[in-house]
Amino acid sequence: MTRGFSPLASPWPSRTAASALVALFMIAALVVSACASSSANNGKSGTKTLTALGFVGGSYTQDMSPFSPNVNVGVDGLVYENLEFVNGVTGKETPVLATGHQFSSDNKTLTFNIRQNVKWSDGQAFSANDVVFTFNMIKQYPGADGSGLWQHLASVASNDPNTVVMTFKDVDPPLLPFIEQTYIVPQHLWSSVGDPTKFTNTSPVGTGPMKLKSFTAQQITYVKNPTFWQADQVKVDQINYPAVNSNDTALLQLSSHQADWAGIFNSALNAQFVQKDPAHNHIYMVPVVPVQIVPNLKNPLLAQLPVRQAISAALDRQQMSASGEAGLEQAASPTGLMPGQEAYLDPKFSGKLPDFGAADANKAASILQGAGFKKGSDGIFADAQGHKLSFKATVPGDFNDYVQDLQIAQQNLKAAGIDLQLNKVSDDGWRSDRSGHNFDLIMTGGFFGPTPYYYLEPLLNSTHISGANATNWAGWNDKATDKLLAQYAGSSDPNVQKQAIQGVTAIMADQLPVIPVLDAIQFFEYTTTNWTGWPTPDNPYAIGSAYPLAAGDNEQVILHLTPAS
Amino acid sequence: MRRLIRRLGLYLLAVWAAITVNFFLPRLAPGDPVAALQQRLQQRGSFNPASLDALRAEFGLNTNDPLWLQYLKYLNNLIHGNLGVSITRFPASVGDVIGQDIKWTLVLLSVSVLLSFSLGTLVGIFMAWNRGTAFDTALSSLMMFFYSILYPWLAIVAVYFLGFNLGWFPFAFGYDTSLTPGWSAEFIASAAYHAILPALTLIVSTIAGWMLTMRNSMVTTLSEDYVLLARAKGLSSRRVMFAYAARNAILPSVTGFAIALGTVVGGQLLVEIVFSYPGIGFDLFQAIQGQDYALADGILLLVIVATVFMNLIVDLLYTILDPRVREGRSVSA
Repeated sequence: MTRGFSPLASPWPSRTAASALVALFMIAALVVSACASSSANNGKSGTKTLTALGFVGGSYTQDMSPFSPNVNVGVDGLVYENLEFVNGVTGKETPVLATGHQFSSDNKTLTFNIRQNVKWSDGQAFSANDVVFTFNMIKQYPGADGSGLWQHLASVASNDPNTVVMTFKDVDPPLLPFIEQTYIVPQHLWSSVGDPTKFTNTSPVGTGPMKLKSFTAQQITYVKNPTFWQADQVKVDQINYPAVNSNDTALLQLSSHQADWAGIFNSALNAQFVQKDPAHNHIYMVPVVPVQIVPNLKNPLLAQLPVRQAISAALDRQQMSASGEAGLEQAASPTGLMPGQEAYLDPKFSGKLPDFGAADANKAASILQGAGFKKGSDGIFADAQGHKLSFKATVPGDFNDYVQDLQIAQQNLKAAGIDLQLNKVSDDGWRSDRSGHNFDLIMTGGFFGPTPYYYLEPLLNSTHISGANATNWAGWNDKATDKLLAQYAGSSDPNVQKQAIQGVTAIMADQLPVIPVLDAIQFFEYTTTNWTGWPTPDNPYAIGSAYPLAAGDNEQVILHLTPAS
Repeated sequence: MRRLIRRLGLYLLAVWAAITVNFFLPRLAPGDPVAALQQRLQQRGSFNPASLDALRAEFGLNTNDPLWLQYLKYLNNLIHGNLGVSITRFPASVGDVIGQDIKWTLVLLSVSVLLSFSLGTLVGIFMAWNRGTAFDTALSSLMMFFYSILYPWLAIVAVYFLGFNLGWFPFAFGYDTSLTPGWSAEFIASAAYHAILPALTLIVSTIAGWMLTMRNSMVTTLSEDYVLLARAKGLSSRRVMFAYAARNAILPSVTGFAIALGTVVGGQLLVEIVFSYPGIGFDLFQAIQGQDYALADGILLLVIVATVFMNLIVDLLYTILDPRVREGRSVSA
């Protein structure tokens, strides 16, 4: 099983011809009118309402079970809370419904201390029994167990109202964040609802900062929950989530300050949002996981380190960032770590995230010459047996940004004496080629979680090379890597885990099992016109994006917001 | 009468054929609803094959039935009025999703089509009557201009200038979403205000078609002998224009109008995207993206039935408008 919050696909929206056309025209219209003065109504409302564009995708159908595959925005995090919040940027834990947890010395028992004096929004008291009930409900209905918790859990029980004790079938501390982030529902209302994935839950009762005020197909409205255990910290009286059909509408809503908060991609974000009102309009694109070019290590040429090094050295990551990704994604580090994860760096990097440097075709060529490759008459390097460095890069044809990045790579590699052809395939074809190792090079995102382990483990552990859901796409089979990953997985001691990751990131940088290109991001836009206290790169207390993927993060954002004076 | 029964039979056959194509085509296309679902689930957390299998079972995707048996079951469900469960909106049923969004589509589009058709046809009549005059030439050229404007461009310009920049009209949503939908005056006024811009762009972009069709068709009938006869009899201009020329010239427009009304239930994806307007077109778009067969089939079924029904109405109208049809003679005679 593979874990991680995974934008396996391009994090950029894939578009059909129709919506691409619309976008194109929208941008044209924006450019044409760039000089026309904008008289957007910066209406400040008297009530302390936050308008969030958390869902771009048409009208709502009511679906307020946290265990439904199509759960409405705001249900997770705002209405229902989890045991502990794990910050996806820093990995830091914040207690929520649990006040803490302890692993037993053999790591086979996990005890949560449950918070006292918490009430459900219907006035009933919350207790450890609700936690026990929720976990056992997930066991009974596997469709609700999206994280596969019960493949590792043996039992969840409570001896007193303050503690919940979980026992494991096997030692698996990396499961912890998924346990912590399970949303807890009230036993007194849910014990009779049956399958929680089918339960529409039209009047949700939770412990969180907000409760449902009204639901219509066009807007979900939440208001402050007066019984919330930190109610004095909540300054937001009401949150509106209008249903928006397109990122272009969302951009206009943000730009005219009709919306305060969003998580959208739009290539005109800088020109049409930030620059319209730089004092108030901000974007903070949170880097979460590298986008990489994965080599198929079964290919005898790509199995040679100098070939991978030469490819990596030739890539112009800055140009890919600027023209392929509208400047929103930055060049990746060879370690695969994100800014903010410096603690996981091998000591040899002395605390500074190393970069790949500028594209250098000469360096690439000299690496290849040093490894015995010779340039043929066509300008392409070949080994002594005449095998040319000619590769196909597989990419989903509708991931426009990936395609553009690879077209840049094609030119970069040509200058270095390596031939690259693009192999555009369907999304499904790309996915099956990737897990079936049916490619030379393939461009893809990765899994992510609260620590780099959740990116590195699926990508590099040799147990994930084969099978229908293979995630070690490169086919990296290295005993040292496996041992380090096992060290992390076998311990609940953060220092032991940290050392293990440091070892793996050194392998990443030195041996290039995959070639990181750019840092994939979570989109996050906000204005400080009505609300302040948003996460910033200096204070990344949560992933700020206003969408359900960052549900626990959304609760933290709500707790930090204060009305602008 | 016999003719009508024969037509009815033909229409039923057309509906069945369309339903069949509707069922098989998406299922023969590459792609797998489970893969699309997996993609969505992965965006919410880790992915657990066991949970995926359980959801497949709930969606009814775990079936080992051969396609023909699935088809028979689908027909059986249809006969019983059961359109199935939507995957992209699970656990909502297809009926619920369609019921929720179609009212927006029906009101906006039928009003726009009706206005565009009546205005366009009326002006077309006057253009043909005054053919060759400056009025006709100028309007014809202007209409050709409108006719060739790409709808998305027009809509985006309207959104950006009239909505966003000038703030005369709201540029998104079907109504002020802070209101509670209902029969209150405030809500209806808000919904009407929000509908102006989308309706206006729809009318501007389609009116030229009706005008030119009517004009060209009527120019032909104006040279017919019976029009000359009517004039010779000394009938009033208005009577010649409407009762003789226009009545005979309007047949192709009526067919076009019926088809336009029939496709109204399919929604207008571009309108819904550009104006973030609620409606059925975006549901269909999402259903296709998410390989949500049940929802896509449900919406397409609606389009088929509506189109066929409107054609039936046209057939009935023809018998009223055209005596030759009533008497069973060929229209082209």
